[in-house]
Order: sequence, then structure tokens, then C-alpha cells
Amino acid sequence: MTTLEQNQELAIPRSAGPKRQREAGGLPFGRWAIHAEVIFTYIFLYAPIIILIVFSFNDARSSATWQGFTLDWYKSLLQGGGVLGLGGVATEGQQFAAQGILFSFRNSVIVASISTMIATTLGTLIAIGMERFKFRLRGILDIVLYLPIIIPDITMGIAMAVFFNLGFKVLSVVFGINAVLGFPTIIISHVAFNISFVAVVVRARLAGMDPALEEAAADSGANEWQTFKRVVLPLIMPGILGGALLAFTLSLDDFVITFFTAGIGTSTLPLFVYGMIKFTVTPAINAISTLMVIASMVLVITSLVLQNKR
Amino acid sequence: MNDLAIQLIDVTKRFQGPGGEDVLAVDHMHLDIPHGEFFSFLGPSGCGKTTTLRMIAGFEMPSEGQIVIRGESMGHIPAFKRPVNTVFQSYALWPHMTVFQNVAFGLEMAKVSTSEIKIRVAEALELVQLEGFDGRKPDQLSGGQQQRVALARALVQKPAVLLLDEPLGALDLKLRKQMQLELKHMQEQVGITFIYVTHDQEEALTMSDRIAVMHKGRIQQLGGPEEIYERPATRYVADFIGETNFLEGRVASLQGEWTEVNIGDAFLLHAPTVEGVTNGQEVAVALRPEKLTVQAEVEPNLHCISGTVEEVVYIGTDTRYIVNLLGDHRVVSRMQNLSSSKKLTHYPPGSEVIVGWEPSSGRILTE
Ligand SMILES: Nc1ncnc2c1ncn2[C@@H]1O[C@H](COP(=O)(O)OP(=O)(O)O)[C@@H](O)[C@H]1O
Ligand SMILES: [Mg+2]
Repeated sequence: MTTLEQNQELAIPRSAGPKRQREAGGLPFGRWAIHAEVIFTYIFLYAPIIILIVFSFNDARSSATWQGFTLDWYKSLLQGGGVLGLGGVATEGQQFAAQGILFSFRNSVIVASISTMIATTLGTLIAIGMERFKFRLRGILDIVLYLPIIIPDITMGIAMAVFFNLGFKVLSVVFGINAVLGFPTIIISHVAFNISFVAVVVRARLAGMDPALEEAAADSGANEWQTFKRVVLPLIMPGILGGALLAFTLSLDDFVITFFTAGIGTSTLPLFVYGMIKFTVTPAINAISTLMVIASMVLVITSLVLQNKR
Repeated sequence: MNDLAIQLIDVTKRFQGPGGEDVLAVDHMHLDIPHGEFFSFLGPSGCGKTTTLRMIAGFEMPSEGQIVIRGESMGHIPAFKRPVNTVFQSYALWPHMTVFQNVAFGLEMAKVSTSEIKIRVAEALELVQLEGFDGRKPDQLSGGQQQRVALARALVQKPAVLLLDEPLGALDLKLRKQMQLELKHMQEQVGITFIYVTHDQEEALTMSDRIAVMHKGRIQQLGGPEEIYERPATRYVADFIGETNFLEGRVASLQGEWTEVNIGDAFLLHAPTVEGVTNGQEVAVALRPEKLTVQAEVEPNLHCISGTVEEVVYIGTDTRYIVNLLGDHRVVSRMQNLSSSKKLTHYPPGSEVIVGWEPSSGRILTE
């Protein structure tokens, strides 16, 4: 602590004018506030997650007190029982719950995989279009592209639900087809918000690329397609993969938008977990959540590493 | 017509400036460049050199006029179909490819057979003295080596014209000097027309057969290195290339080969008559510092003006004298230090001296 304070003092210019002096005079409190802010931010951000992880190893049914280390909750996720209670022969209900976890996890992976592939392809194309071609309305398209990133999930979810509802009506009235919410609707909605994230990541990569690299390819006799395939694509690939991993993570983790667009039998893991805790909270929920946190962290860190690759 | 590599016919390029206004980057340029020439565009930053080169390469289209390469009008022919290759200032090597792949790329695009590609890439790497570097990635090479790869990549395709945009700009001075000579030799060896862009006058003088000195999108003077240096056409050229003393004055009389100029009513001098000069015209007489000698005595056959030494700077090979001539005209003289036994500060500041020069080394500038 002392060294930190000393360092900070060094950063204040001593020769500064009277205004500076006054600021410096007010600093002890300001410095405290800054430290406190940082500390509290981290506490509020990570304390719940750390508690969650710790208690996923707690050898007790109630999550309030620490009773010793166990991996039983993790085992119970894969074996028959555990979500509703600990040990013994799994009841039918417990088996159903465990199956539910695996089933909803499978749903999550299907949704995330397909939506990631589509969003990555479209997002990459949009990024290239926006970065490489000058056209009117580009500014407007810019804003439109950022919208899904900044509008609240709940708004997006409701908008999607309304949109699908209307779409279904049109389908049934005009074509006589009766459609319901399910995988296609979840995937469409995930694609809708993931395109933006992929496009932003890929675009950053493109913007950082020396245009002379493409000109050099044209100079060497490569047409636009050859230039794209042999020069642009390999160079932005880390960005594309980074964007894809980000999209995959966001899709796996999404609750709100999926909540409005999922149908019967297509619950994803977050939806299922939410359903479970309405019954009862057991440390098995902690175990699932811990796994989700870890998976997300690994994916996001990999994504960041790829994005920053030279 | 057929012995011309490049023709620029009334080429103009306008850009949209940041405020939507027109920026005239190249202004009605006319130029013929014959085959096998080492041609340089020389001028300060922003005078339109790069833009001219990019129009020849096909990365920019002229706003007006046309570009003809080997007798064929380029019109809207895209860059990848033009028989020219570029060495980029940033080198623009593809970081994900090896040296071999970088150099082979153009040949692959031209559908050259694999066996021939191997031979030609090896030849090109030999030409730039990079044998054995085939497997390296660009980031495993020094700046000078990257520069050579860029050169090999362009030369391997045997272009009609090689375009080089300040290719030595990123190298240190010593390497730059060495590369200047190498480039010149290489150009003589392969016989390809080189069009070279630089803001470094010494570089242009060293390498070029002909130089176009550019200013604000226009060619101010076109000629060989000696012509540009010894007989600059305008004040701008004289000032940009090397160091120059300007003596401002008025033409006193025209006497055939010689013109008499009155320098601020302080003294009269003679200089070779130039085209277009008229009696009574305001002119400047340009004198290169190395043409001026500082001496104690008046000498016949030289213009001799007396003055006072103001400053003496020893710079190794030369000594620079700043002398205030009669009538408050300050000039710089550069005297070579030929003998180390002679005292260098021969004329210390404050000495009364004579500054002399051959009348033929004066250059009258009318604009
Ligand atoms: N793409 C462009 N858009 C707008 N202005 C440009 C563009 N390229 C060049 N210019 C302008 O044209 C002028 C000439 O530029 P350039 O050819 O790069 O000069 P040089 O290579 O001699 O330094 C400059 O004023 C520059 O700002
Ligand atoms: Mg330039």
C-alpha cells in the first residue's frame, strides 16, 4: 500500500500551478475513492462467482455452510441423481432431471454451433463490405450494425418474439403452414445478435491490415477473388475465429433472448437451469454453473488471444 | 512510339479533400519515358509523386487524360492486368507466406509451371543476394532483407516497367547508399525500365538517367542529373536540389552569350544568357557554394567581390564560409579541405576576403 501511494505521489507534478495544487490537496480522499472503487468493483463482480465455484465442491446439501470437499455434485450431473437430492438410488424424477441437463446441453451446443457458423459467415461478409467498399448510407449501416450490441437483451427478445408471432401468422394465413417456436427461431435470433459481434471483431482486424498487402496481390496479377482467398482471408482468419468463439460463447450463455424464442423440447442449458432453480437450489446447480463459467472463460480468452494475434 | 515504355498524356488526378473540396494531386502531366530508362520523380512530400505512380500501377484512375504502357492505352484496365510491378514503400510482404511463397505468388497467378517457378524464384533470390532464405517468414528478416524480397517479388515477374515508391526510405543511411548502387546495377543488368519515386535529391542524382522535379502536381524540370543540378530551370528547382546562393538583381544588358546583371546596385556580374531573359527583368543569379572560392587576392578571369567572413564551419571534407558580400548579400562558400597540413581556419570570422567564381557557373533564373 505504501509503495502504491508513493508511486502515485511521484505522478503528481510538483511544479504545477495553483489549480493543480488544489487538486493535489483534495487527492488523499480521491485516491481512496479510486482504490475503493476498484476493490468493490472486483468484489461485486467476482465474489458471487467465487462463492459459487467454492460451494460447488461443498459436501453438503445446504449451500450455507462449508462441510468439506467433494466432487459428488459433478458426478451427479452425469450419473442418474443429484439434482434434486444427494446420493442413493436415483428416483425417476432425478433421472429425468439429469437427462434434462444432458438434453438441454445438447440443445445448447446445436444452437450455438449452427448459429455461430451462420453468424460468422454473414458477419465476415458484412465486415468486408463495410470496410472495403465505400458507399452512401455506410454511416447508417454502421449504426444499424451496432444496435444489437447496445440494445437490452430483453428488448431484443421481445422484438424477436413479436416478429416470429407475426411471421407465423403470415405463414399460416398465406401458405397454410403452422409453424411454432423451436430450433429455427432460437437459431435465427442468435444469428441476429451474433452477426454484429462477429462483424465488429473481423472489421477491427481488416482495419488494421495494410491496404498495400492487397494492392501487392493485385500487382502480382491476382484478381479480386484470388486476392481474397490467398491474402485477405488468411490474414483475417484469427479475427474470424476469434469472432466465432465469441459468438459461440454468447450463444451458449444467452438466457433472455432464448427465453422468448425457444419452444417445447428446445430448452437450452441456461433455460433448463432456470427451470430447475424454481424447484429447488442444490449444489448441483452450482456445479453446472461453474462448468458454464469455466467453458465461457476458456472460449473468451481463446477468442481474445486470436484477435490479438499478429 | 514503340520504344516508349510509358506515356502520360495530359494526366490529371483530383481527390476529394476532407472538407469535400478538390485536391489537385497531379496537374495535367505530360511525360514520355523510353524503354530501359532509370527515371525518377523527385519532389517534397505531397507533390503528387505517389499518386502518379499509383495511376501507372492502376491503383488509382486518372480524373483526366490517359496512361499508355508499351503503346497500349490502359483506360480502365485493372491493376492485376497491367504489365508493371510495384515495390511498395512499406514492402507489403505477405506475413503469412514464406520468402519463397511471396516471390512465387505472381508466377503462380500467371500459371507458370511448378518446375519453372522453382528456377525463376531461385534466380530472383540470387539476383537480390538472398539465396538460402526461401523458408523464412518476412518477420524473420531485417529491413534490408525484406526490401530485397520485395524487389525479387516484383522482378521475378519480368515486368515491362518496375515502379518503386521510396523503396529505401526505411533503411539506415549506410544501407541506403549501398542499395542505391545495387539498384542501379540491377537495373542495368535486367534492362527493365525503372520508375523511381523519392524526396531525396542525392538518391535521385545518384541513380537516375533522367529526373522529373515535381512541385504541386506539376513537373518543374525534366532532365539528366547534371542538367538538373548545374542548370536548374527555376528557383524552386535550384533551391530543392542541393544548396544554392541566390543573388537578386535586375538585367542590366544583354550581350549575346552573356547577360549583365546588376546586383542591388552593389556590383555587376556576368552570367550565361538563358532563354527568355529580357532587358530590365528582375532575376536571380544562382551560385552553388562549391563554385565559390574564398581567397585573399583578386584573380583575373574570375568574378571577384569583396566581403567579410561571418562564420566558418569545419565539416570534415569541406569548410563552409558564410561571407557577407558588398551591399549586404550573404553567400555560402564550400571549400574542399584538400591538404591537411594547411591551416583550416585560414580566414577567421571578421577577415576581409575576396569571393571569386567563374562567370560561367552563375545561373540566371527568371522564375
Ligand atoms: N486517397 C487520397 N485522398 C485524398 N487526397 C489524397 C489521396 N492521396 C493523395 N492525396 C493528396 O494528394 C496530394 C499528393 O499526394 P501524394 O501523391 O501522396 O504525394 P507524394 O507521394 O509526393 O508525397 C497530397 O496533397 C495528398 O494529400
Ligand atoms: Mg509518397
